[in-house]
Amino acid sequence: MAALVQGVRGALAISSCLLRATLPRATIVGLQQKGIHTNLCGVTPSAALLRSRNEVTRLSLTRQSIRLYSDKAPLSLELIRDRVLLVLKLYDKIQPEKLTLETHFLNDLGLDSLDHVEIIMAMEDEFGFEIPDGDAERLLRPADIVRYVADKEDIYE
Amino acid sequence: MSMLRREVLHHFKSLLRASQTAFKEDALALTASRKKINEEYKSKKHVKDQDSIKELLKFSKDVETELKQNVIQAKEKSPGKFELRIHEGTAKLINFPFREDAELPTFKTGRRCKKP
Repeated sequence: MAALVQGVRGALAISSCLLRATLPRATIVGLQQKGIHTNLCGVTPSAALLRSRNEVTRLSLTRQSIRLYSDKAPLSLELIRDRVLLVLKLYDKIQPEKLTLETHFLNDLGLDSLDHVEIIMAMEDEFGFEIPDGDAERLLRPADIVRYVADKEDIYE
Repeated sequence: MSMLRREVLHHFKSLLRASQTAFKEDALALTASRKKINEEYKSKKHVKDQDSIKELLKFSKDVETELKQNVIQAKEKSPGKFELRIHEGTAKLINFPFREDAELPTFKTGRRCKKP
């Protein structure tokens, strides 16, 4: 008898917890989609509601960009430009002050063809696709590389 | 650009790639090997004779094969226990039994599933 009462009380507590917690269902689903583990019956439902209401706009906006299949991040011309310049700045044989989009590797930056091969390899590693030797020998400036990557990844602006 | 020049650059690139797979995640070995490869290629930049260039290229190809097939990395999992990293380029040789009169366990051949 006592066990029955306890069981009923327990069931009532769980159901009330669930009731209050199911109201902002979309936000909870959003939270779960983001991979955040929320123990809904442990945390007081009011706290969960407060937190989720603040996040609901952000989550509803970000839900579109959470893709559930593996793919590369979406690129834009500006992003490609930044990444190319960053990789070149990190390369130890280039002085960062002299680097712009139009500087020629061999003529302006004083590199040789072996360094150029290393630069192309770094670009292959950065963007994740192979650049064949025939194309690589024509990429002699950062602007050329940016245009090439944009062509290969079909980015237009 | 002449064919030989293109070949030299191609071997430079593939040698660097081979060293990257051979010394993956080993920063010290990676920087040392990159430096060494650069030094060796740059020191031979002045060579004009076609035959000697071809010989040097052959040497580069041999080094590359050696790196791809015979370099294995081992990572220490716990004191005294190592995990080897073997990739598809590693040379796998035939296993010879360590003792002439060793008895190797035989396994039952044929259908293993229970008959319905």
